[in-house]
Amino acid sequence: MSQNRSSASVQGSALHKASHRVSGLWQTLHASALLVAAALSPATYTPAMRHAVAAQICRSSTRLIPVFVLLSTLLSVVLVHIVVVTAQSYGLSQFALGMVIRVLVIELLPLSAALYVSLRAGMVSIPEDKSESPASIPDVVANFFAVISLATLSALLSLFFAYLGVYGFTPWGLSSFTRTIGQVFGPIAIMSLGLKSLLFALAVATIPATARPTRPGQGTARLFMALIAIEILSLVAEFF
Amino acid sequence: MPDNDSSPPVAHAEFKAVTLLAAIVALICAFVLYVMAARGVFEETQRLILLTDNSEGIKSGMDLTFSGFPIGRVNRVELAADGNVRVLIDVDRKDAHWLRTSSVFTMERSLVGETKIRAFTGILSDPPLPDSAERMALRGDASEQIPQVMNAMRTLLENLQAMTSENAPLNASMRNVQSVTARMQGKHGVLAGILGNDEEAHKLIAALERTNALLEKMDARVFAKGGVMDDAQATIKQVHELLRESRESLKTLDTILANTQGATTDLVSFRAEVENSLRKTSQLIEEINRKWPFSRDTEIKLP
Repeated sequence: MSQNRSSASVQGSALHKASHRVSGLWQTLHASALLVAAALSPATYTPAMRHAVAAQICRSSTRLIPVFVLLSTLLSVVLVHIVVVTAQSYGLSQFALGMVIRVLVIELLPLSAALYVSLRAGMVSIPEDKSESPASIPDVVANFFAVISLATLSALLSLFFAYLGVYGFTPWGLSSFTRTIGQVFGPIAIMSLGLKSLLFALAVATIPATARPTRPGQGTARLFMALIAIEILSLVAEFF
Repeated sequence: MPDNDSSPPVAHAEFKAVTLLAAIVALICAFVLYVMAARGVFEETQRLILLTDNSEGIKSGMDLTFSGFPIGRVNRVELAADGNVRVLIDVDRKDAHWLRTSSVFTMERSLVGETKIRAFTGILSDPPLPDSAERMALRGDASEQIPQVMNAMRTLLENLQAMTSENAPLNASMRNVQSVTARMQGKHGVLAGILGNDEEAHKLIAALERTNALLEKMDARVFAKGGVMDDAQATIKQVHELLRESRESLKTLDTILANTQGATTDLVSFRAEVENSLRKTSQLIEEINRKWPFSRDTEIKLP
């Protein structure tokens, strides 16, 4: 009897946890949607708010862009060199550029930008007063814009270094490079890249802001789960 | 805005933010336009339709190359009503002059890498390929030959198995060879192997011995002292002597003939002299006859 009672209590607690998680996810989604709606509504942007948003965008950009661009450039140069040298050693140098673009520009750099912005924003915006909500429109907009701008800048820089890595300092590889870009960025690839970057930016901007002030780690965990889910979905959409 | 109050104020924040936004949006738009240009959205093209029996490895965006240079790209791949595959290719107008009515198109698929669509033009003076022209594409697929190679291998292995089975002709031949070589190891060696058994080999050896004896006898009769060969040699010597004598006789005859030829050259003058003497004698007789009292009157007197 006591065993039956204990197993029933375990099942009940598991169900309670599951329902609690589902309701937590729903609350996160709901709060994120409210934040996006507030950020998109023109009524939000009073002169003071507009100024605050602009200032936050400037602060986050000056804080994030130089370091991330430097790091992504280093990563691009190293990866391009590794891929080009390996492809040449196997006699497959014609596939090196396509592979670099697919791996770096479409897969790695948007995810890296999202992770970097979320980590830096998490470090900066933990409130001292735990009773106050961290959700603020300037932070949301600034983080959203930071993810998009970092992904764009790093992608363009990595394309530039991929060209230099494959062709060197010569303009004669431009037509071949353009041809490869055209082949890699098909309609599905470019749509996947755009949607992925947009969803990453939305997740980074809204999910940490909707976490309870008493449990800031919860927002980060949910954010990483969301980023992984978006990445898997984009891979499924692109390759299946 | 939890930390905005503690952060230092940003001068011209709105202008900077708008500039940054505009720059990022401009970069994104420029990249999208570049990708569109790279995919040939802004290029003027003409349509080429390649017909083939298999669309494996062909996908949208693939290049059509001429001498290694991309001159067009696959727009769409569709299945025709007759079951063939229609590969719709957009060829750049500026490069379309490389394609002529006599151009040949191939689709090559290697074991590593994607399918390659290539154009070959042998005669560049032929008329240019018209828009929406349909051409058959020749397929060359390295991986398609793998099943054929496997079939050939299987047939080869089956043949090998048939050759090495218990009742195979090759096995029977090998058994025969084994029996022949076993016979060769007997008393009469290779002869017994060739002739089938020892009895036949023994007969052959006896025949050979008889032949040897016969040859010995013939040697005694022919080549021994006073044998046939000696007689023949003496006869040859005699014939040789006879020939020498005949040669000398012929020489003598030649001399006689030469003398005779000299004598016949004097006969003409001798004859002329004889004729002259005879003529003189005849004249003398006629003279005597005229002067002789019994001369006849040879004149005929007419009445």
